[in-house]
Amino acid sequence: MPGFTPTYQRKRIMAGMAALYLAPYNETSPAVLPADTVALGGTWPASPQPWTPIGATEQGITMLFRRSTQAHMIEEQMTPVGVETTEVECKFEAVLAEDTFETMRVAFGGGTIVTQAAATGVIGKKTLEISSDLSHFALGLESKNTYGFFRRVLVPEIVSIADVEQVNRRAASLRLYKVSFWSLVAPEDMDFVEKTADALP
Amino acid sequence: MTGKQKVVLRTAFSDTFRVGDLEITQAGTEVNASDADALVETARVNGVQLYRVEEPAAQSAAKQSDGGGS
Repeated sequence: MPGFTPTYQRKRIMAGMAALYLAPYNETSPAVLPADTVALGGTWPASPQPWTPIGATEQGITMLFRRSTQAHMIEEQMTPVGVETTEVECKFEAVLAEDTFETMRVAFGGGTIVTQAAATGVIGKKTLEISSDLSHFALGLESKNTYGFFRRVLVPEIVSIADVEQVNRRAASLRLYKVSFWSLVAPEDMDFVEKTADALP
Repeated sequence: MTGKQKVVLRTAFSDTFRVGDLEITQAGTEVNASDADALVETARVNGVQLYRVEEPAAQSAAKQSDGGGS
């Protein structure tokens, strides 16, 4: 008797890291994704808004997309006659592992860093002022797709809502910063783009 | 175009980078083109990423063609 295996394409099954970038949010001059000519892993643009990588993570980047719905029922039918979306939650989460003021600023929701370069008789110094209000950022994500090329995501406006517990231990644990970036834009305003083939000569 | 060429350096977020009397902010600070690389490297050593602000191509071309105005 012949065996039964459902149809599948092995090369479409993917694992792999993603690179996450943040840029300042600017309504009149928003951050943009790299040009289509920029290869996977290439440099993200510095204008109109500069992208900054978030650095090392404990367990990579997690993208969460949760849709809450309201099902409408009638007596005459056992299955819903309609299902509507009540809420969409889109988040990007990570545990940041680079113990810097830049990481702390992102983890705490926003703030300002002033850096004084070292000079003769003067130490190099940074000061971090955490903001009471949330700072808004743009978020970019890049990963490798099934074609071997880039897949990029742009969320034009996000805020960082985190629950930070920085553990200071001699050896048992790293100093880690758990962050959760919440999308503030409608799903239609998030850009998903991926390259499927090289340009023809 | 006469005089020293200038470039604009900026910080990424609402940050400030100070080296000597020079202060580079998110709004962008104009510096001599010949000093830009050294400033970017000094910033990198101090844990700060500076970015060069690039003018849009059309605006740059208009400035070169007639020195201003449109």
